[in-house]
Amino acid sequence: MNRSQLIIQEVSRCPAVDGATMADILAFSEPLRLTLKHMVRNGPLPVDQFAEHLEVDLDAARIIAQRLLENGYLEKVYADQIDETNETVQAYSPIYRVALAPLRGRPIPDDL
Amino acid sequence: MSKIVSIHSFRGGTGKSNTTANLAALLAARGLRVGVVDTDIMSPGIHVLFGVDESEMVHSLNDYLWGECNVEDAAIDVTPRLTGSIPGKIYLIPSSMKTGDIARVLREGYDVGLLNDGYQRLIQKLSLDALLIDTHPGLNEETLLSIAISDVLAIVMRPDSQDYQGTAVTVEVARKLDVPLLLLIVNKTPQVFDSQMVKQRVEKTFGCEVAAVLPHSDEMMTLASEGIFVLRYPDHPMTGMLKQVAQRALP
Ligand SMILES: Nc1ncnc2c1ncn2[C@@H]1O[C@H](COP(=O)(O)OP(=O)(O)OP(=O)(O)O)[C@@H](O)[C@H]1O
Ligand SMILES: [Mg+2]
Repeated sequence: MNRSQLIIQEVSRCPAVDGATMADILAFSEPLRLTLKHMVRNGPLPVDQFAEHLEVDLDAARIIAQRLLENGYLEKVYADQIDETNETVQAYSPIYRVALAPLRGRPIPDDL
Repeated sequence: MSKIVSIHSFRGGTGKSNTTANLAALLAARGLRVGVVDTDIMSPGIHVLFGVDESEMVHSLNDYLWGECNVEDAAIDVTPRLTGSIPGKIYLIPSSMKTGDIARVLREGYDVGLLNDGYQRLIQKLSLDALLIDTHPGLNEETLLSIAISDVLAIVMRPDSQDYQGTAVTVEVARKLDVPLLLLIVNKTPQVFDSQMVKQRVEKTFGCEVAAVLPHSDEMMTLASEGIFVLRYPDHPMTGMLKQVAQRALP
């Protein structure tokens, strides 16, 4: 398997989550782990830069981003938009952000 | 370019909060604008070192995480209450000491992404040169996040077998997250130990730089977190060592 196929395999097999924790990110292998870390540290990335970080081609990067999105690790900050005035689909390149999971609470006594 | 420095240790009581407060004072003494965030939400403490009383905290990091204020609203300028002339600034962002607030974090959780945004906003709003993050011991979500976004991670450890094992865990995480600069600080070294040998052993064990081997100091114990060591003892050898750490973290 080549680099792209290996990453696609990894993101296809990773468990679906409701937002990623840093522990989830740590569990990915390279180059996914450091790319996701980069996105946490430096902010969202458009798909071409996501591809550059992963060192894969654009098509593979789109598949990887889509799987991570479906599995709850990424979210789209800007989605493709339909321009209603002339009914064409404006292919705005989506920008992806790591969806950090909120820290869940747990039941503790009210009078604490 | 501002820098984010996290101060962490796997085990508790190693001297993180004291190290953080001393580094903040040394950087501010160089004229830098420094933010100090207490992310130890479960057991806050660093405010004591800066002489901040609970009643002075109009807002805390907790309020920001619950969407009840801007993060900079929780910042307290602690510079005026420090001894000596400090040309820079120190802003403390404390965690709440109220039992109800600590319980609320446990009960409701909070948005970790907000913590990340809050760091960036503090740097921007307060024009910080450095943001120091004092962490909870061990690895939890806010600590992992802090490590991930740091330019420098300082791990504090004692020359103790339990600390050696715990530090290995944090070093591994830092490597996996490719932290740009990883520094080890050995603290509370008994005076009978040969500090050069301790340094060599620690460097060999973890394969990373030891920025200082700090002695166990009676003066520090006696100060009992009621002040900042480097300001109280400017000519003490330990102050010189802490200056070296500050210089290494922010040249
Ligand atoms: N070099 C030293 N020599 C003697 N005592 C020290 C030294 N460094 C720190 N201490 C003392 O150790 C105690 C713990 O220090 P501190 O609160 O800074 O540790 P910490 O790692 O932040 O603890 P926690 O994990 O509970 O947050 C304090 O009483 C402090 O005065
Ligand atoms: Mg502490």
